[in-house]
Amino acid sequence: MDPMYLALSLFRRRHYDKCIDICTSILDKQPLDQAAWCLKMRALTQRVYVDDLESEESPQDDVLDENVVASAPRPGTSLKSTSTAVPFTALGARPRTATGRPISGVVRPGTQTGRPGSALDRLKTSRGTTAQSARAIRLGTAAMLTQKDGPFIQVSRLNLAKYAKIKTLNKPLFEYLFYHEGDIRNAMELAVLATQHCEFKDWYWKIQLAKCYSALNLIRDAEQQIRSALKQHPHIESYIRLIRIYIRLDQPLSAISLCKQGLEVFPNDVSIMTELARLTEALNEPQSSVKYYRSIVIEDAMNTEAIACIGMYHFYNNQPELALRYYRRVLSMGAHSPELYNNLGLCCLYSQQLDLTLACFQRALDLATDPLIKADVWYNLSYVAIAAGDIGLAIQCLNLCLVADPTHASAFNNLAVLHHRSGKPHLAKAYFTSAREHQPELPEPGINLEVLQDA
Amino acid sequence: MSRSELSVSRWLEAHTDRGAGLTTLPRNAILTDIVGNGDYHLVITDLKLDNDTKSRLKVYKGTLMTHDQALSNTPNSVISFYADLNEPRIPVVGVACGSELFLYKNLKPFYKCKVPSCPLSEQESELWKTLMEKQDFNSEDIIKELKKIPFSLLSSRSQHILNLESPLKIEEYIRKYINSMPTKENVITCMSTIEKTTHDKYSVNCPIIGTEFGNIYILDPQNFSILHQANTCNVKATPFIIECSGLYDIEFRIIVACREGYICILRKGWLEGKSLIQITNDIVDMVLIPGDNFITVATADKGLHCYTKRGQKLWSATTTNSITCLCLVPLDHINMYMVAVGMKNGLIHLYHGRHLTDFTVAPDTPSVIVFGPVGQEENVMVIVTMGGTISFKILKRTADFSNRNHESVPVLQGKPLPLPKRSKLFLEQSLRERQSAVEIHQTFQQDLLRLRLTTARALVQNLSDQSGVGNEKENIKLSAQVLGLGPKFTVILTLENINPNKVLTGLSVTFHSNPIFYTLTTYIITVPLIPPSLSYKMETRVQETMSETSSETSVAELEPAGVKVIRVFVTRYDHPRPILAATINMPPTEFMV
Repeated sequence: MDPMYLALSLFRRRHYDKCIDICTSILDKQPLDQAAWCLKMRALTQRVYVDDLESEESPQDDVLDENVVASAPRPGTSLKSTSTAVPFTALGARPRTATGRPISGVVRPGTQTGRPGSALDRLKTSRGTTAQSARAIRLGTAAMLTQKDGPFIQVSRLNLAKYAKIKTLNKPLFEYLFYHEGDIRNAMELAVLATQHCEFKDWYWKIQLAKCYSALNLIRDAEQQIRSALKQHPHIESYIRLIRIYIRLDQPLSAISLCKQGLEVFPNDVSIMTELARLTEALNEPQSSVKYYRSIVIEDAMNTEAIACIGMYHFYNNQPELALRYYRRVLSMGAHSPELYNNLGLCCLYSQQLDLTLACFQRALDLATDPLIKADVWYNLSYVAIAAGDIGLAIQCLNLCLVADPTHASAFNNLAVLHHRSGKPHLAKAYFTSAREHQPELPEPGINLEVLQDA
Repeated sequence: MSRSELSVSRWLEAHTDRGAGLTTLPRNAILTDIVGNGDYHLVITDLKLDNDTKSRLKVYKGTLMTHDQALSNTPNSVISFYADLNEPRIPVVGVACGSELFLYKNLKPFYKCKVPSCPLSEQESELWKTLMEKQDFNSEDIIKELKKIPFSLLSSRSQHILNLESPLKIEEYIRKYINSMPTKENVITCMSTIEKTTHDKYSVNCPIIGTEFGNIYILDPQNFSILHQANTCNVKATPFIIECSGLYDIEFRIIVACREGYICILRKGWLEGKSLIQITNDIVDMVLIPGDNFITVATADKGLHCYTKRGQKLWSATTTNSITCLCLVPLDHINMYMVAVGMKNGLIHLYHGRHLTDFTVAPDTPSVIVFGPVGQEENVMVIVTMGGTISFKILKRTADFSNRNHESVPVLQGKPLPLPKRSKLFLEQSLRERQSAVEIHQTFQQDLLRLRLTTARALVQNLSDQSGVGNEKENIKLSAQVLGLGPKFTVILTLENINPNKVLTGLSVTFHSNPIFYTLTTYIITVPLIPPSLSYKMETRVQETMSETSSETSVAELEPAGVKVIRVFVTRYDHPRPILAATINMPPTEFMV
């Protein structure tokens, strides 16, 4: 069989490693075989490709952000202010993580990077960080490790101007540089040259440029590029990238209007509707958010995020039995995570299906490896203990939660309340104080401390 | 309410007579212009419940008793009203005793009207008729006959017979009364007045009478005939407080509080009242606030409740002591209505709406409070206490109730919480719960036991390495903070003495880290004495060693989660085992790209 044909077939079947091997052997024989070179580039790219739309975003450096429009935005026009001042909705205040993210059944892009907070916060707290920059470096090194005899392409020696003119090669080369090498500067140079060569008529290059700009934190330039690309060719990805840019600029209302614009061009598109639902939820409008999630489920009955979010809505709307049904649906779709079992356990507890409650929590405990999730499971188990009337057990659970996550402010608060009830006011006071230190925006410890001082 | 406001009372203590020896119940005291010259007198009844002394009607002019006369029966309420338009305008004072209403003008009795008695039940009247005809009887047969009739439907004479013990006495008793038919007395329980045609200080009022059997009578003010008669409620209810609003000729509402806990409403033309509110606790007192027509009810469980005229609950408040009486305090000059709440131990609170605006004290538990003009003074509160003291308090003319502090009182949630609809799924699940309750319970208990075991195991695991946020036995708490972006960090440890009584001594802190990753400025810190409830802060500087080899060679030595750690041990000098241990997860160094 022709090795090139075999390599193509392997590429289509996603056997990238084998495909790379065959390409390497072809290139050993004929070092200037452009087809093999291109295929190898694509295979290498695909092997490490991460969907950067659905992956975590780069954290925003508040200190150095020159795009901030207003420091005190009006209510409902900013995503940042919502994390500090939780408005009371019809559903009451939902529990949030330490970074102000509403706790839900799914992890979404952009919600986890918030964990370390801004660099300024970092000066005060003791949390680890996972930044985009760090991830890109990790990917680069991981790719490098597999190549014993040096890198496949010496980027510094590459004649970018030459390759930018070859239409068949410039796109794979760009993607290789962007995703595999993580070399955004050279990728951008290639994109600039390529878009000049095609006289700014190819929307693809504009999108790629925008990607590079936003990776380099040149958000306004990225916005311009995408706007111009959208004029040439409306594409779902372009819409979503632009929406993300507005979210980065903290302009949720423009992002929402863009979503609606996009939905006119692509009616009932799941990805745009997902963006819209996430946005409305972040703006504390759970009703409209759940409305969008429902229309997503009509389009795509297997959308885990939508199902889990509808479940969460029902849970906080005091209908745990409905939430239970949705989470069971997620479970039957094959999801298998500690968070899901944790949620199932909570739904069972509150809908009085007690025989299933602890079984779910046990699974969650067994599956939880991340100490933060383990802490949350123990925290929820303390509620089970309280519901069963075993205060001692509840205290033990909360202690275990704090062992796993020593910064869990709610756990400190609850522990203090329990200690106060069992007649240890000085201990309670100490715990309330540490709860307030760890999360000053949490209202309960402050109020409880006041009550303690009055008593 | 601020302290400065409280320091100066709004009330002047005018007169207190601890030796007055009065026994007066609510609605037995009124303030009225008894002689028609604008000099208001206090008219009260002094109850004597012994057999040999009679209850008395007493009149106070100012603080002096000017008039004292005996009453034929135990009084239960006093009213005063203008009966006609004749000059000079002298009000009629009405005193209800038993089933009779005695009317006084100028303190002289001038009329007596009797509430129509109730018809006897057929069986009973038949029995007495035959007795009258035959003049001969067997007392045992009569007892047997009477016992067939429900006790509460009997006349008092028949009830008395049933209560007598010896057959001889029964016979004697029957012989004594055999020539007359028994009557069923309809005892008056409460009274009130309603304005007839105009709202005016001197307008003609109709007396309203409530009776034991639940009848409400509205009387004509001139000839005291019955203008209107109605039942309180469709169920058995005994009125004991009547309040009214409106005009008799146009439209009126009579609010009746019953002993059974109902509050009924009666409107013009109704022959039967409607139950408006039902209160589970005993009603102590009720006032109707003019203007809004809000009903304020005091209950026996220290509760003060307010309802609209349609029976919707507006608010509830709990008082500090049990309430004994209420009194409306109208302040016309500032257009304000307050309610004085008399409580056990002599405290009197004044509520404006749901807000407590003022308080004053009586010598002991107030039995009756009346508020109004006395003599020439406009606003006087007269308090008769359970101990018999009479006390006069004058509201200062400068009293200012305007700057009330509304924020101090949390707003009671009037509306119920919006609950979601009960779904079909919920019903199915609750069905499952009911059907297999035992299994569910057993499984849950088993799981709970298992959970206790898991928890205990995890705790033992932690106990062995003494990790955790604090050691409750030793009463210390440790918290750590990492500052900096790296590769240089500052670790700040806070050691807190939770014990409020004992000091902490002889502790030291040891840092433990892998030298491949971190170099520390200090590894051992000796902790000085920590006084009770205080904390001690210490810091150490951490330098991350940035060698190329470290990232690759020692991946295996990393913690399971892939983070680098520094361990902290708190130890006592003489003990090898740490009393507290903690693990600090160090953040990775941020590379500036």
